[in-house]
Amino acid sequence: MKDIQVIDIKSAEYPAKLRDIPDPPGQLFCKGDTSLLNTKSVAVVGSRKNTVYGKNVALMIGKRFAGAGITVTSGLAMGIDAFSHEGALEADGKVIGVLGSGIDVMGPRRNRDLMNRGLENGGLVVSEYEPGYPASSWTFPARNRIISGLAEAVVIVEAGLNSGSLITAKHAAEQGRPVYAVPGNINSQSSIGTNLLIRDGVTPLVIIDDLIRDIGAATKKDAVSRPDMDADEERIFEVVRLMSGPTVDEIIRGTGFDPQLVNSLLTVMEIKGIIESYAGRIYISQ
Amino acid sequence: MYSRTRSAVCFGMEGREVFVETDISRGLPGIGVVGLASTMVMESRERIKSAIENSGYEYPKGRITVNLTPASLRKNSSCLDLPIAIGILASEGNIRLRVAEDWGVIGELALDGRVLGVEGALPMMLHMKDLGIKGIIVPEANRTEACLAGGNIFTVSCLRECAMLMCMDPQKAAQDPETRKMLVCEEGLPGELMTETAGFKGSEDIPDFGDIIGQENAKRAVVIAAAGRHGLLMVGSPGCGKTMIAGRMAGVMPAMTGREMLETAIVRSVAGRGDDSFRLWNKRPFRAPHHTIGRAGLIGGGLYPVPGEITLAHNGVLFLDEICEFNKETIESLRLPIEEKKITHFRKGEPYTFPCNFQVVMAANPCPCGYFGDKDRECTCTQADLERYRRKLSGPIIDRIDMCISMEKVAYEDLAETRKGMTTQQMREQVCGAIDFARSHGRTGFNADLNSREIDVFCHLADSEKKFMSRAYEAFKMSPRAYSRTLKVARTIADLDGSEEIRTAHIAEALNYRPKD
Repeated sequence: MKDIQVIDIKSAEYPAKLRDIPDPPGQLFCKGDTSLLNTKSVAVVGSRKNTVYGKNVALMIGKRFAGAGITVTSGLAMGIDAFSHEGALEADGKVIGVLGSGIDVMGPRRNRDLMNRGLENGGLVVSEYEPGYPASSWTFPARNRIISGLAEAVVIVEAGLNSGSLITAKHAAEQGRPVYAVPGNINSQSSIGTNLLIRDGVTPLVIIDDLIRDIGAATKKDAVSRPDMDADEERIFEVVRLMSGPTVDEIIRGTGFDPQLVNSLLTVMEIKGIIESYAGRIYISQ
Repeated sequence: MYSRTRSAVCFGMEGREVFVETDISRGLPGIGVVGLASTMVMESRERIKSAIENSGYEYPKGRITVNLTPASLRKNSSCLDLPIAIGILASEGNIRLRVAEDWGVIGELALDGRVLGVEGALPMMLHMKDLGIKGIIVPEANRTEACLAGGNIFTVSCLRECAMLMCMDPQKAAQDPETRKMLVCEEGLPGELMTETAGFKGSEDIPDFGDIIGQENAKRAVVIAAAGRHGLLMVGSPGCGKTMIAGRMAGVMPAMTGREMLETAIVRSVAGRGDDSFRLWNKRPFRAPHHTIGRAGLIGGGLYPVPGEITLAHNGVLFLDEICEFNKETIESLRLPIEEKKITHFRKGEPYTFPCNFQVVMAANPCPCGYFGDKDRECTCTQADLERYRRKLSGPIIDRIDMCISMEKVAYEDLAETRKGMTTQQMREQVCGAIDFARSHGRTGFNADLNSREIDVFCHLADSEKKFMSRAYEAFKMSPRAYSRTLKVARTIADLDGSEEIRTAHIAEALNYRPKD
């Protein structure tokens, strides 16, 4: 417990942006680098049950923010929250995790691993609850106001109709934080929440650099190179790109190739990192 | 007076010789049966008394002692009713057995003197034939099995017929116009079926793969699985056709050899489905036990062990649908039988061995609600549900399969397509071609059963293939077990291709059938 610091609302270390929200926490229990509280940060949140699209976007956003020196704040939940942190850590960025329980109380094992990785990389874990405080159904919605309160802007990557991320969006709006929603296919169950936000006037996040520029950080260009492909692989790549997540059978029909050729090429392309398979469907890797 | 008749009992999958000794002495009327007889045999006393009286014979007034030898063999079959009744009649002097040693008798008695069919008649008949018994008498109800056994087999429908036959010499009985019609046939009926060259004739009962539109990927996987006897797991949402595929799989396996047909017929006979032994003589079995099945039901068991589903699927297909719903211990119990291709139960120090060489096919939903990854319906499972389900799938189950495919409902465009996909006939030709190729290159068993030494010999990789494999090993974070599994499947794909070397394309295709998350 000794490495847990307590920051009172009256303390100078207490982030000013958090003090301004309607219902600021009286004290913050912190573990890690507390100076991150006052850096430029963006919250990236979303559904626990993500699609491949959501995963890729969360990873990409995390990576790009880290590259621009922006701290990525999230709820350390499974799914989108976790992938945004993973992306940031991949690019050696800083992360803040806001918990819905005491800092030493952690849910699933995978989240704990991710938290420790974040801390090792100079990150920070924050909670308004004293150590040992158990998580419950109301602590999570409550901590969402801290997630948005600590951030300059909030990005919702994927959210279903009743996702907790929509609560974060509501808090953010009340706190005057700009909210960005990542648009999804209109027939995707996992993007209904975000698409509805966009309908109701939230800015769609179409180009990540726009957001980085909006909060006044410098963008960084990174070149994307596509690995070599032979003609057959190109053909499959085109089919996968056009059909967005086809099954093997659909690729067989789309290309007119034999099942054996498709199966063999898909493996080769997966090894090359061009595509990936998830829940029986094939996607283009980001 | 003393008499002795010959009979047999079924012990596991084999017949065992039993002698029934009967002695009638003076004393209080009654009957005692000794010789490790089970309750089923002890109850025969009541049946026999009524059957003898209702057949018009007189039941002895004295003290009857029946001894079943060998005394050390546990006997649990109603098939001893008839030999005991005959023994009593002979001891009493009601009938004069000519040469009792020439006849072997099995059959259950009804109270009115009719002879009823018994389980396991085929192995008992075959055993008595091997012993050189000149005439064998079996119930009329087991006639179809008697056709398979061949030899001097007579069928009887009542105790009187049996008594009449046994007063004759077997050779004479076969010629006498009166008794000749009881003879099944001298040759053994399916003469041409018994030979190894028998063609595949029974496909009309198994539905055809040509009926399945689309799912070409699954069909390809079925061909590979059948050619190498690789365990196959199909993952897909409800209604995508997993059961249709599994139900057709027996059709693409090569025609059974004479030996396999006989083994399968014996299994069916022991399981009390003697008619199937004959009717489905050359058809590979397809068994699809429900997921609530227990351990004993699956691998066999009981006080006197009877075959379980894995044995009923011997030489055929065992389909485990909703594999995640099966009890973990039940799945675990499959490990040994799958490896050894037989299962041995020990009861009172006696081993009962049943064969179980089958093609295993499993199916699972992608998640508890079934719609994870589905295009049209939302999955209602929580993250915890998914994790639990994945764990269940990944442990003991994944260990038992070489190939895993994802399936999805066939799209409307596919249904409307007129182009016909692969038929069972075409698929079987491919499978047989691959198996012949493997045989001609020194492999006698199936590729799924290659041990590590054989993998070194038969799954040798050239340098470029080795390099590809090592890249895949890293990229897919494979385990050594997954590595050898991939090699075995790649070997089968190369066999289908008629290639002695395993090429990169073969490995790449095999890798695509690895279990994915």
